[in-house]
Amino acid sequence: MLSKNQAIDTIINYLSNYLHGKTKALRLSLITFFSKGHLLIEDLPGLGKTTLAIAIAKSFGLQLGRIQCTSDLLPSDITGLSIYNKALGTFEFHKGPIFNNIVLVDEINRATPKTQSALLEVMGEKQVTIEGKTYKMNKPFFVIATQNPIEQFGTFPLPESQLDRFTMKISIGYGSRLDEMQILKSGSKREELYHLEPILNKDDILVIQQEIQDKVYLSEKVLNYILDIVEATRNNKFCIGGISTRGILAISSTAKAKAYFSGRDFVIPEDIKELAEYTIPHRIIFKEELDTLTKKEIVLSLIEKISVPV
Amino acid sequence: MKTRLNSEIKIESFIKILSYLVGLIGFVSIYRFVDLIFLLTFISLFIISIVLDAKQISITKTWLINLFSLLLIAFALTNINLNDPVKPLVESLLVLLAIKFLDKKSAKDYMQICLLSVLIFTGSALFSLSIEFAFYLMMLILLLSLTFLTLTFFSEDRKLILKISLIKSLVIKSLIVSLITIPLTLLLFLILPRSSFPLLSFLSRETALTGFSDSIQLGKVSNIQTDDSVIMRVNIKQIEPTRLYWRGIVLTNFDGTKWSNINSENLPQQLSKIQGEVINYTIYLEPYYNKYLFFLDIPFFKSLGKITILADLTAQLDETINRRIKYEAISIIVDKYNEENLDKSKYLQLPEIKDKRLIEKVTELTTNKNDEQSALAIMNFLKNYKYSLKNLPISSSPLEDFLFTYKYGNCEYFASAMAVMLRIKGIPSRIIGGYKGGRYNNIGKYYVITQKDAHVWVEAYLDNVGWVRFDPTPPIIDSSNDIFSVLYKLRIFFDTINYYWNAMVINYDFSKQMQIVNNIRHTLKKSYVDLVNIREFSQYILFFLLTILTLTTIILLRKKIKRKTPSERILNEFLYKLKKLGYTKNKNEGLEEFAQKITNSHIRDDALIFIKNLESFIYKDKEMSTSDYKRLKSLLRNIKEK
Repeated sequence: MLSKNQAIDTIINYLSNYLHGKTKALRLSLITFFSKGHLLIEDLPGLGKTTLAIAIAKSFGLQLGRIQCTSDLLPSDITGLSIYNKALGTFEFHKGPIFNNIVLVDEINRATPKTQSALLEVMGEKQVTIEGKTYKMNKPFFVIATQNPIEQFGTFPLPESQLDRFTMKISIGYGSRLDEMQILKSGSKREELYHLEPILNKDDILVIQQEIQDKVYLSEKVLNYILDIVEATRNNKFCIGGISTRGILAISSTAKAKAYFSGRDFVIPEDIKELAEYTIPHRIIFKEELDTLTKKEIVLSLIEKISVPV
Repeated sequence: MKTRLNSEIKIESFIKILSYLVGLIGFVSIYRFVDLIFLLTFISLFIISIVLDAKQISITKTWLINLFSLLLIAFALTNINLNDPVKPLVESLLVLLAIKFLDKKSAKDYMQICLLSVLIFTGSALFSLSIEFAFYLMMLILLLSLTFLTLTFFSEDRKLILKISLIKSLVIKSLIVSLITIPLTLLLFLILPRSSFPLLSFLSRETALTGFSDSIQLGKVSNIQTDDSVIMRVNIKQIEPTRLYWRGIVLTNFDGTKWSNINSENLPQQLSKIQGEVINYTIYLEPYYNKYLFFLDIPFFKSLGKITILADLTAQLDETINRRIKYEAISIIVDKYNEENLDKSKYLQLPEIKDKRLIEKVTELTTNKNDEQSALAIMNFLKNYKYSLKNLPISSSPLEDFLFTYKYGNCEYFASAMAVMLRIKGIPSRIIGGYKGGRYNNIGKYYVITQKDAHVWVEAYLDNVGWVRFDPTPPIIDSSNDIFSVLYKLRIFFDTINYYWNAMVINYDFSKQMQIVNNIRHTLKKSYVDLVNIREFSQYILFFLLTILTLTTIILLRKKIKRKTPSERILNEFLYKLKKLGYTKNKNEGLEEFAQKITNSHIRDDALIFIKNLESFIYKDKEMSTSDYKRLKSLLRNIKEK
């Protein structure tokens, strides 16, 4: 049965003390993390993205890497590069920040397309080939990318094909008045986060990831429900392109993770339905240019028309 | 069958015993009618099942038996023919029942055993409706209600141990059910329009009243001639009613008060010289609990089969007519026919005549007259007497009283007097019993003959001529049915409906076309048409097929319902209950999502608990055991407003 799902509750409760009002974002991040996916956070600056990433990394005792994207960022700044070592007379490979368990890529839309695609390739393949040599990424490997939805000047928005590589796209949003009052009273807890004792170790995480993948049951009924949703997005009048096959895999893996978090070893339709607004809208190519909110509304109204299997 | 401490019994064993009894009743009701091979198959499989159950062995390789049984069924079904489709069907059912005994496991299997037994039992009704049938029926009703009651326990918990006291109360309950059912069923038979299927006809056999009987005792017939009930309907072209004499029986022997029948020779007649109008007709004869068939005077016979044809031109069935039958016949309307090589002495028999006035009267009427003139003289003499149905002369010498004292009587007196007087004169004579006339129904184009049309008349044998019909009874003035009255018209109308129902629905059968073809062939070959096919089976077959059809439909529907898994069933119960509480789940809602929306916190919490327990069966495709089902049931019961 499920061995570690109790630990996840513990982590969420524990971290909630440091991340006021970000419990939902934290939960979604963890679901993405345990379903071996990557997360895109679309939000204004200063709302706690970095704190979230640090909290996750520290509570699992994982290494955190951070890439601040600018238009002059080069692919090698991410992957690393070979440098000539005079003493040995050879080229030595210096690993870039991507060689960490958790990588925070800030403002990914400010990087040039070339750099973006290099990053996204690493995310998909979980390996990088430099000068003919292949380097595997660490396990677990989790990328949290952020982008600023408002700043348009001098940015390179990610095309839908690139967005599809992110398992979920979430936003943290402003904290409630109460939460922010709490933050004001006690000050930022960023410093404390660095000293967190890990609750789970690397091996535990890999076990949980494997259990989610192998032990959570997806019945045919629920699979059909997923495919119903997929079909609806593909035949919708607002959409040019629906959910991709990769998208289907993302939906099922996140649903499994969510089921696991709820202490179940089987997926119920709600697991899919509740995550739909994070897993689906960014994958769909709409006919018109729509804002994020409208996309979400269209997808949700689509799902409301699909009957849930019981 | 292991009992525990003599006061407890496993429910499974109890159900098994019951199912064996039910099967046994089905078998016993039918065993006389099926072929030996099916008998042996059933008995051996039945015994094997009992032994296996007793030793608590379950056989795994049933395919061999199934194969064998399928072959048997195929063999039985190849024997199906139009004359007797019931037997092969019943035989196949018997084999199915036997197989079912071998692998009975679930409540469903026991239900099927009951069903098969009922089917077989229904089939048995088509072979014979004896008093045993009623007995088996009662037993079956009792056992079935007991079995069904027990099955409700069984489907809840297979491992249940039944206490003797519980069994007793179950038996009492099913007894009550049966006792209530049986009179209600009887009541239904009285209320419902009488069907042609005589399921309980043996109960009414004694009370059947007809204007016709095997013998005629002078004055004993009471008020039959005012009885309006229908004896037969005849589909025939319109003929003057006074020419219609429906011949039923010939009576030859008179003992002074009573005419009876000396067994007539069973000889195929030699009729070749009759000239006259040939009439084809179809008779629908109501059940009247005698075996004589009626034909328009004078009939032609050919077909034998189940009918015995006598030399005096009457015919009878081998068994009593206890259901409506239909037969086709052909007659020539004449009032005389010749019979060669007649034994005259038989028709000159007379009891000792004490009253000399009778002989004197005959002498007075017939002196210096030939046979024909004498007969006419006697008939004309009697025509002066009055016809009456009341205060008939009843004594040890009714005939003399009729002739010389009362001078009135009914047709029996007139006919008897004439026959006796003819015999005194030395002319062979006999009495013919049957019906006369009938009322023509213009809508349906048929004659209705009722009990009050019962009649007797005389046939005298005149040398060189043969048997000649004389009807000495004076015309009856019938005023009971004013043909202009609304009531009468209404009666005619309903009778027409009844007639068409019998002609087209009850007596319809699929071999009709075949017979028509055959008849045409016969007619072409020969100049006469025979009495064809008394179709007593047709209505049974219809009933049987309808029963099977109905039951098959029920089974199919049941299967459709059964296809719902227990989890689906309990989910439906849950949704229904919440609907009653005011919460309806939308199609696009998940179960938890739905429960979260419930405003009443008690209901919500309980509903969530229920759903969390149920979910794994729905979304994990887990098999639901009986205990799971029970647990969910109790959780479901918990959901309520507090």
